[in-house]
Amino acid sequence: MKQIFSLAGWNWRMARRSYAILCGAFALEQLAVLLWQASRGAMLGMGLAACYEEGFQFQVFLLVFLLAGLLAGPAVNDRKRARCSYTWLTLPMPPAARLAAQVLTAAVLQLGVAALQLVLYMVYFFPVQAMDSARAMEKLGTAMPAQNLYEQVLLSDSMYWLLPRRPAQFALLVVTLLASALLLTCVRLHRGWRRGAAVVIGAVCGVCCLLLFQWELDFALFGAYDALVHNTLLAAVVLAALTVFSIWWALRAIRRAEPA
Amino acid sequence: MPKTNRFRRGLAPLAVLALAVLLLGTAWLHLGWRAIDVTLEDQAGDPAALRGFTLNGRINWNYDHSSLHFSLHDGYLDTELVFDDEDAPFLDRPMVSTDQTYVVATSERANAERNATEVPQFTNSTVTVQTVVNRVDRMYTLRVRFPGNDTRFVRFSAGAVDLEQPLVAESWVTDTPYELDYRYDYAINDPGAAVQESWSDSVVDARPFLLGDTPVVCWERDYLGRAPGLYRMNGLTEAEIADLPRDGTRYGGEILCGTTEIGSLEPFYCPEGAVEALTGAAMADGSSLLLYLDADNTLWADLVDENGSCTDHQQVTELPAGDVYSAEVYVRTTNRDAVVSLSCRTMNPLGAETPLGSKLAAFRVQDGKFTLVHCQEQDPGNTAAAAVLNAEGNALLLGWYHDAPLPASETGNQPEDGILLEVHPLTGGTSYRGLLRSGIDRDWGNLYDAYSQQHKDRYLTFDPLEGGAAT
Repeated sequence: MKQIFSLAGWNWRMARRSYAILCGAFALEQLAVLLWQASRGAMLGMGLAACYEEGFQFQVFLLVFLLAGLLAGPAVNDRKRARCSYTWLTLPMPPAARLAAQVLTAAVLQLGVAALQLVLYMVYFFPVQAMDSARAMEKLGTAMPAQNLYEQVLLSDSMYWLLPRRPAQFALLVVTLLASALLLTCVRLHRGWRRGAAVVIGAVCGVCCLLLFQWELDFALFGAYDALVHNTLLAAVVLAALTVFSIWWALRAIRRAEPA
Repeated sequence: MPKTNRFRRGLAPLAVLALAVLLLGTAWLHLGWRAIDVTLEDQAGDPAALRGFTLNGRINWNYDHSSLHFSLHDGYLDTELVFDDEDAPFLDRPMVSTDQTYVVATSERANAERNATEVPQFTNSTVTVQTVVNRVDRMYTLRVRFPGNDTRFVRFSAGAVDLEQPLVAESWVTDTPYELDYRYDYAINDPGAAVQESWSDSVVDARPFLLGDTPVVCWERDYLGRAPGLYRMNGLTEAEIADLPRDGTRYGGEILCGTTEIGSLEPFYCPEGAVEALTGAAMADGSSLLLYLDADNTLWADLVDENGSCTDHQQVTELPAGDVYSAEVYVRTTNRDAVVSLSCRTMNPLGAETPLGSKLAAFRVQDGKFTLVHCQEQDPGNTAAAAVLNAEGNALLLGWYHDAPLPASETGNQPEDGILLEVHPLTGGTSYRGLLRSGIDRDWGNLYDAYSQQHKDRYLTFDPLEGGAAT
């Protein structure tokens, strides 16, 4: 167990700088886009949630989320200066422990991005509101009612997925985090055509997760009906099967020293 | 391994911090909703005047499923935010709609069938058949919808008329025929102004109610041999209509003729001397309320038991002479009471209506008798959005949509900020005024020449009686 944490720590150490750059770029990009949206004539008085959606920031967040998971890969790769793969492959640890450490780092990095997005959303409420109030004063001559931060979180279609409202949704978030960490690690782990296959598997599982989120909401709103139950089971089975397969395949790759 | 600890530095704190942020955020979402709470701001008078009143409603947002429920009872305002709630029951209230169609008359049918020709189509999915007709049957189709029940239909004829000149009638032949579809049989879209004005646009009041399991509609005027009053509607569902035997041919195929009557309206209560029946409502103990005008424009209220016999008959008020009268029962929390908004309008030859006067009538029933009949004036330009009686029956709580003290937009839109509440004792005057703030003033964005599809406006509705049996 301690070895897993040590190895995870080693991955983290190598990923730290790129992770900081990724997070910094994300934060700056989001502020720029939000302020640009808020300055548009059509967005006067619309609020942070609308600016966020119109700026496609949730899609950017998902992209950054995936990139963060990929960043945990360095230990297994031979890059010009890293040359870690030999060390990594000859560590006195079972393959499962090595995989677990990679996945742990990826999961923590992704969790960090999710938390960062939540913090950014709340913090950026204030500059967006300030700009909106100033523009309203300029255009209409009086102080118009300010938006409410809680309301902008409640009504945001994107924050809906990030802050769970039901236990089932919370469980899905945990499953998605771990599954994406695992599948992104597998993408870094495999070589050649297997890497392409891992990307495809990851994409399929990603789609399954998105569908499961949507269907979980449909369950809550409309109750269980045949097609919904059937589709949900199908997606869950596909996701579980591909995840198990990916674990087995990854362990096989480690044993066969594929990253070398 | 020496100094491996420093490899981990930062990872564990990052994980813990990230998890804490997300969990705290989730907790705040669930617990911090008071930030958008509905509040009651006392403006004048004594808040103790709110004792005895119950007003329930909810705030919803477009394209969102959250609801902020509020309940004002005895002056206390209870609120609750529910995520992913069911749709507001107000949106799903019982309704009867009237469709008017012009279908080829039975006497003409054989001729029309002989002359029917197919029209070339761009697509192969639907075949359009056209023919020429001289005489059409005017059909009313009443569709009554109750939440949780199947929609039921009643169809009857208003009589056949000759057209000024022969017109083209069309019908669509499809693989999946729907008997109530407008072009299921040979039908005409526009028979000319003379024919269109020869029959009335509205025959029943839009709000039906349930008496037991049967819908009851209010037939407005003496028309087509039916006296104004309450009628039981024995309608058929779409499935039952599809099972009816086919009784005519259209382009060689067997169809249910568009002129075939479906279902029936059975008279339940038609008072003598009624000239126009305005509306009906279900009241306590299985009784029904009917409001109607006599020849002198006097409004009467009759209370009717389950068997259709009148148990009480009260004069309400005199309404000014006008062209169009309407009555609408306000959303209520108990079927012991009914508060009704009455309005009278004149109509100019172009069809534009001008309000002439408006009144508010309040009724309370017990054991088949009216214990309270009250009527007061209201401003026709600013009618109340909600009106309820208190438990003692000596005051009304009225609510209006209140304009916010913000500038109107260039297009004339005015933002609101909530519901203005006033308590009016039945003896006169105002004993309390307050503003129920709903936060709707924050939705000013879409009113001022800005627009985003992503913005979710809110709307406030009041909760009707449970079960949707009545307003």
